[in-house]
Amino acid sequence: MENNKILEINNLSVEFLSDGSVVRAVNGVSFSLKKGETLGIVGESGSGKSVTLNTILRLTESPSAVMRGEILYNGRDIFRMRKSELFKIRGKEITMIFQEPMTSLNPVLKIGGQIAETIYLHEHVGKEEANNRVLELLKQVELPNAGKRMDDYPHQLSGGMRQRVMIAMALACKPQILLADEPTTALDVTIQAQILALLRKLKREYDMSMILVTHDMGVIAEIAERVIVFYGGCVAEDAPTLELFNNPLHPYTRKLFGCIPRIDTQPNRLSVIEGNVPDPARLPEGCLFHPRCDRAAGRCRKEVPPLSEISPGHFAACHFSVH
Amino acid sequence: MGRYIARRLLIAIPTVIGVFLAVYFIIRLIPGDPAAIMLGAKATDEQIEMFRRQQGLDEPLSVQLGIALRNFMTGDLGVSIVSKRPVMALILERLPRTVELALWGIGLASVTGVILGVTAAVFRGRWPDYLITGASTLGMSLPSFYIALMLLTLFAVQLRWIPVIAVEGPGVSRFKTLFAPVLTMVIGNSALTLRTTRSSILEIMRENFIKTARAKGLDEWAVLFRHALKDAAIPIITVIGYNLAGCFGGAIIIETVFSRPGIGLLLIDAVNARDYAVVQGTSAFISIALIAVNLLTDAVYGLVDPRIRVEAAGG
Amino acid sequence: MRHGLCGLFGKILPMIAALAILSGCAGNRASDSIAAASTSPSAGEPVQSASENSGETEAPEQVLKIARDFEGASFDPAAATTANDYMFAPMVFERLLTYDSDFIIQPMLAEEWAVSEDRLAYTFKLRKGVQFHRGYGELTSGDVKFSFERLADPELNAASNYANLGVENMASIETPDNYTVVITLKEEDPNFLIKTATYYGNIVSQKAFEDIGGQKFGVMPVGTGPFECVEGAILGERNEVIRFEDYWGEKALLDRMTFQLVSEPGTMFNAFEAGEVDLINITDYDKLEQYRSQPEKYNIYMVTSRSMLYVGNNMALEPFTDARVREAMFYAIDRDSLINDFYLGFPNPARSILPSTSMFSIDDYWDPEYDLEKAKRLLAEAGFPNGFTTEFYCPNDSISMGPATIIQSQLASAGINAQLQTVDFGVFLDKVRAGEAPLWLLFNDTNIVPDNTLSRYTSEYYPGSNWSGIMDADYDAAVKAALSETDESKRAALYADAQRKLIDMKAVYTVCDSEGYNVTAAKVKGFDFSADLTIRFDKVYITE
Repeated sequence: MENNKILEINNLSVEFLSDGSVVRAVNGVSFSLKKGETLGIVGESGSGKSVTLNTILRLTESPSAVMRGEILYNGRDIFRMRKSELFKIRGKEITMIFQEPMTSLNPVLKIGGQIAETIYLHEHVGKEEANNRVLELLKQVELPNAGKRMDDYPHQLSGGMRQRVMIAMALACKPQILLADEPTTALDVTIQAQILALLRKLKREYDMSMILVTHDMGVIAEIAERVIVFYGGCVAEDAPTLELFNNPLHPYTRKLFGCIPRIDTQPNRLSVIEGNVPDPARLPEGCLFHPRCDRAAGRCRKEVPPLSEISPGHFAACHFSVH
Repeated sequence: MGRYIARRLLIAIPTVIGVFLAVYFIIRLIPGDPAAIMLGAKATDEQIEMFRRQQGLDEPLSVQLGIALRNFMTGDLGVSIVSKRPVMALILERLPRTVELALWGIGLASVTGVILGVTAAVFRGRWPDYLITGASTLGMSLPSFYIALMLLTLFAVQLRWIPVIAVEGPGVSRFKTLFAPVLTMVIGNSALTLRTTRSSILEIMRENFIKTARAKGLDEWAVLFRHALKDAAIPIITVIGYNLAGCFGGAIIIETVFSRPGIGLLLIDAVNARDYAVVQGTSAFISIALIAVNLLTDAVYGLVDPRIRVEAAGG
Repeated sequence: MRHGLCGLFGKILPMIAALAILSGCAGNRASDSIAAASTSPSAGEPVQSASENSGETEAPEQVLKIARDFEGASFDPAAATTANDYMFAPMVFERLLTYDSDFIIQPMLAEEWAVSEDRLAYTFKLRKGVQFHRGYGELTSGDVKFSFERLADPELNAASNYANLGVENMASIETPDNYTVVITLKEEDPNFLIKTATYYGNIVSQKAFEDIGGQKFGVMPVGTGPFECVEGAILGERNEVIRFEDYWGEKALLDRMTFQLVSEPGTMFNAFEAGEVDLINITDYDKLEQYRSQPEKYNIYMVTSRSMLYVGNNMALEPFTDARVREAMFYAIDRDSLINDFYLGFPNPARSILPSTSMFSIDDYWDPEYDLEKAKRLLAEAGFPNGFTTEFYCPNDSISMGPATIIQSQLASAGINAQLQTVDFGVFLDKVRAGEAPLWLLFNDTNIVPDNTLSRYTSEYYPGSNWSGIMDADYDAAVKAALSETDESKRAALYADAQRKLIDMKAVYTVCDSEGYNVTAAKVKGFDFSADLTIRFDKVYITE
């Protein structure tokens, strides 16, 4: 193991018991995050990417969830940690921002207080110092009129502003890793760009590592240094961004790119990927993508293709990607 | 907020007048002559006539209404036919007892209900939840008459901890006179609060901001108390307000069993005696109390949920 | 913990606590506890000798604790309509005269009295030195005049007493000197003296009434009796009286009596059995049996009241217009069964249309027969071989519904299908007074002078208090004759005649005297009743 891997996920699987049937949201996922890296995870809805991210902090823990595998943070397995240790990691070493800024903040508490809560939780500071830090954070996330906004309630802020507040909250204790679950999906495009730019800037200033989950290739292109493509709860492809865009190996990835409308051409129709994403309760045998793949052959129906390094740093899970 | 309250108060005035008028007509529509009832079955026709004349009961309805309305506007609630005492004095005499029971009863019932509801929510699906929810069903289904008599028998007759007749005196503190009635109210009234608290909290815990709170590193208790409870408050406050409002007329059974006559009993006795002025005055009073409780509930909403505050000020 | 808990509880709980404390203070002001007994500022008599007179000075205070299940309205005697209204403040007032168990007039506040030749002017000589409570001075003739004349005041609710005392019939009340009262009537009234001896004629202090004012007087009135009222009474709920140390006659033995309204019978029995209360009145015969079987713990006193159980029909309504139908109804009622099985044999069967404790009541004419066969035969004769359906009204209180149900089933055996309508008292009165109740049942009482009970069934009172629709010229004449007769020797016979005629109508069926039962703890002694059926509290004392 190289010692600049700050987060290592080995063979993670997450199953949910639902109405008597087993839903396999995540199936044997393995990847790692290097210190200082910005990793993007992309995939369609239901591909297991959000579940994976939430599982890193064990936020998916519930009586109906079964989690297997390893999540190593600086060598320590998060699954094995006691609750007290986990609580020290959450909000301080690894923090997270979420998809719905409209509902992810507590509507009855002032935003200044919600941010300060994190600080009080993890550090011994007085009221005045905490407030100063909150003010600083709000300025850093470029919230206009930060001083007055501290005493506002979430409903008094727009979506974009709320997301900034969430980011401020996540950065309050200078975390090592920032997890971002579709942070811009619910925002309009112009705000999106601002938030992404902000994230890039802060990552540099705080010297953090970041995992960003999205379904939007454009966001990947903007911000991710490396990309993992999810399909059906598995990793389909894992490569540096530029490499992936220039040379997608997995048929699914190729099709994805094919779906993106290009500004410089004028197609008659938008191309689609035939079929639907697999139902996590009834996954197909063999390669999960084979029902929708043009290149599917007999082997694909029976054998699950392992994730193999096709070229240095470029992994793919397809029988035919090895040329 | 001030304008909001002012507006509500303004609307309250026609409401109370409306109640007064409605009661005025309804009580007179019920068959039964207050003079005959008051004087009893052996009264002669002449005695009844004289009584009616003296009380102004033989005036045409419109005249009586005019007088009653005019008096009502100036705060004169009239005089009881039965006891000849001013209605206001009767109400004020009974009021402290009703208010005392209401505040202590609902106060403790609400605290109990919330605590048990939170516990049930936290232990959802496990035996504490079943135990608490089951007990609350029992509390809701047992008639309060039964609960009151059981408690009286247990604490006053068997254990001799409290007197049977709730009168203060040497050796009998106010606490002892309130103990059983308040306990009856707690058993009967906490159930609804409990259920509401439980379901409200369970709903809140599914919200996104709870996940955010956990992601910050808060343990489950902190998540519950610092985040969930305040957000779950609105339906709970509604139920508490509803229970409180119900006390003003609805504690009649407790008043009877424990010999603590209050406003509720005053009203019922007056209806039976067709004591018009007392019925009107007490009904108007109860409606004012209800309006006040509703206003208070709304004000508390504003305290708890800032979104409501802003709406009120804006609209 | 900054937010959640503090937010909800931190703001709401202190508010609730503050309101509770406020209400507690208000509650204190309304005073649930009776203030310590106030001794009346007597005119010169030291308190020492008074308590020595009553017995041991070191003995614990003699307090009688009483619970009642009916409310009193006002203690002002002008507003009282029945003897029950005095239950919360007994023996506080006195009258000019009183009577014994043979209805012979006896002196009370008046030592001597005389009637003029023309039987219109009554002269009363007052006892000297009679004191009013709370230092309001000596009884004078002015107080008598005031007490009677004020019954005309509409503010006082006194319609009942005004009529019963006959104030309308008083041409004038003169007070030639402080101790002489002359009342001149407009028309002769043979019952006048008895009337002044009844509670209608209670004497109050004029000075006190003018001083205190109408309403306060109703809460803490001033009379001349052996007991006086103290502060802190809550009308209709609780009251307290203490011994009047300056009473003109023999002082009471008790130091204090407390009265408490308890409307729930279960609570009352529990309190009594736990020793919190020493005297209660009950109508529950099972409880009565229970207490009767423990004579070492409880004393039981029966009070024969002037109340009776009446069942009546309305002979102005079909089919009761037919005398045979009415007769059949009477044959169908099994009085003995009702008294012995339902009432466990406690009450006495009624001997007349009037209670046995009323003046002029006869006891040799009313003895109804129970004969189901005769009833059915009479019905068939009247054209109802299969019976008929009718309505049977009774008030929905606990004492009326029991006997009503039993009588209903008895009537049903004869074929009279009486549909029971248990209604609220006000509705009941409406129905019967409108003449719309073919059958009715009620416990009703009669004054000691039974005039009202007899005259209510005369034709002029239908519809109204003549619930049975009796319109018989003969009966009207008989009642008029009895009520207007001034010759003492003839009155009894005329009253008897009227009663017999009324009984013959077969429209009103009297079942039994209604007794009240007072039960006391064994330690309460000296219990007795006066001729007007009230308790002689002044003779009661407690042994420990």
